[in-house]
Amino acid sequence: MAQKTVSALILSPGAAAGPVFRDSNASASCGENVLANRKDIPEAERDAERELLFDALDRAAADLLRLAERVRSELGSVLGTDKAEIFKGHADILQDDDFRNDMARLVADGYSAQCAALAVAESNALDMEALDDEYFRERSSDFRELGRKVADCASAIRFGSSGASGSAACLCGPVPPVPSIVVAEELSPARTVQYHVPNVLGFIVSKGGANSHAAILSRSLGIPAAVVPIGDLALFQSGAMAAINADPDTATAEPDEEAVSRARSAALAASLRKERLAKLRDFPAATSCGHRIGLFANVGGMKDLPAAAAEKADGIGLFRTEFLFMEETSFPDEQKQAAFYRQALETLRGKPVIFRLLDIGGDKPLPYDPQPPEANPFLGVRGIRYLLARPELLASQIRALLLASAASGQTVRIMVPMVCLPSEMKAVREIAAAEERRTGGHAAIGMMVETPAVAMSVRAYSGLSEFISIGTNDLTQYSLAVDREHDRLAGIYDEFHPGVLSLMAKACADARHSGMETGVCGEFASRPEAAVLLAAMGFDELSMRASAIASVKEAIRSCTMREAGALLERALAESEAEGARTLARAFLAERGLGG
Amino acid sequence: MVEKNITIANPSGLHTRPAKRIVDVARAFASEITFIKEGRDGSAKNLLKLMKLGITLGNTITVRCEGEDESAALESISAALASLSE
Repeated sequence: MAQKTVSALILSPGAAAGPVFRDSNASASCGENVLANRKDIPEAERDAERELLFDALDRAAADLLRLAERVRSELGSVLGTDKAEIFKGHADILQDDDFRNDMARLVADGYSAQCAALAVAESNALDMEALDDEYFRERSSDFRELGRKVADCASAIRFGSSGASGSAACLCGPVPPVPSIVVAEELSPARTVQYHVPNVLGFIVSKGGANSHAAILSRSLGIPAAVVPIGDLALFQSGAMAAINADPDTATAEPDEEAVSRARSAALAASLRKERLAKLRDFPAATSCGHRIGLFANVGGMKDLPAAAAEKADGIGLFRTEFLFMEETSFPDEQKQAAFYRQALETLRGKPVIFRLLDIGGDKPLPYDPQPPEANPFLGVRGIRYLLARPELLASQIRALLLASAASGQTVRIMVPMVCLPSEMKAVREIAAAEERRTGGHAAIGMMVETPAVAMSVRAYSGLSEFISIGTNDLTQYSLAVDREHDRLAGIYDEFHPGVLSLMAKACADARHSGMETGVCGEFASRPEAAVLLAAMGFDELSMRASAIASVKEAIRSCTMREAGALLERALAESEAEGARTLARAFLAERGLGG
Repeated sequence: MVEKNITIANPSGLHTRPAKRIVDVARAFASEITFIKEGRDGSAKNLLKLMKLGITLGNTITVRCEGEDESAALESISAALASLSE
């Protein structure tokens, strides 16, 4: 058969190539689940069947607790000790009276122990699938796995594999004898951690979502995992070669030599780079001459907070509060908002968190607060203009932020979006001062710099703004008068445009002169070649998605401020964006970075 | 009996791991500890029941404790919910 490449959903990123090892799931390792469909156990045997069921439940639970202990002791440093909780939780469910009694009731009606276990597990899985939340829906596969595990243990007991070896047969399927790509219909969490052996290069499966426990675990283990359409799984035959490719997201059955070596070198490069970046996590972002830059994380929802903490972000440079409002059917009350804000402050443990006030515009109105149509929403009622037209809403958000400040004993940093006039900052400060007195909280108030006019007049905000943060996306759009997503004008939007770079540099210099803290929170800050220029301009902090922090840190650490300054000077003298970008990339390439 | 409304602020809600943590805290108390979400309730000492409530980010639930150590239980459960970060 010739090489065949299929598109894949990547559960755990990375590349790999190797021979296929088919995992036909744990049940096969215990032999067929004999009696799995029997519902006609004679009455005289039902008591014994119930005993068998309870033995199987106990044995499966004990296995899971042993596995939890092993995960904690052997893999805790790789996975984080909390992952063991998954297996403890599963053991807990197997010991749950309702769960056991539901099964026992079926056995009393004549079901075999295996059949009862599978049926009750399935009914619980369906309950989970009915919940309106992706996280919970993906727990349904855990229940099915638990049912299979109990059924396997019941088979093992029934057919006499005894004691420890019997338990082992229930949990541990065969492991690949040589480094392989494991192909299975579905991976259970338990199988995933058992595969933490050097012989597993990657997983190709046909079921599973990004939030499944198996996906979470394979990401923690750094093993690439891809989901392929179920019909394509048969392409991956035992013993034949397979490859998982990172870019684009595909899996290849029987790859040719070139495809194998491409996947292997991508895997090698990725693992070397990952090792390098992981080592940087505990080092500060400082230039080689010792100049410290804060690397902050952008947060678009509570789900982003753990990554920010894991990447050791120096703070949150942009906490978008929109998600709190978008998913509601009316404006969320102060207590509800305050609970989220407080959680963010406490997750970051005293590091600065910059909350941006609700940034809504005519292009994306709240469903419960429709706005009259505008000819040009980007030049209309958005950001602080929207909020000042709703003083109650503005005051309530500021109050919620200050309540979180009072409750956590930390200062909240409040960032005002789309400021164009000093009067707008004055209005916000007045509200904040009043709310500070009411709540006992404390706020530092700053502004986004998103328009050329504000970038040129930052000094006018002296005393009104304690910090600035450049929103590079809007600043670039407004400076170059081009929509970032315009399908026929690609190439005009470019932050490296010398005019745009000059605006950023000017805003930063003037803000520093006025004693304001300076930051950047647009997309631009997440690119290593841009970060070097921004550091040279004198920004105190750069904020980006958490996953970009390590590579930006690597760039910052590769040079001195003097070198970065010389680069900036040359970049600003270029006449076109392309020239400036090429210079910045070459600068990193000289230091062995980028590519 | 004491009770309190609490808004869930950890991103993934009370699925397996976070819920297991809450169950472990709840089991240390003699009081009955009940979580109520939209009229449905479940014992906080029972992982399965707790998971089936499908408590997610942003849900406001009522935590009800009844028994000799109810105040301490309510305080510990509130603190445990607030400390979930995942």
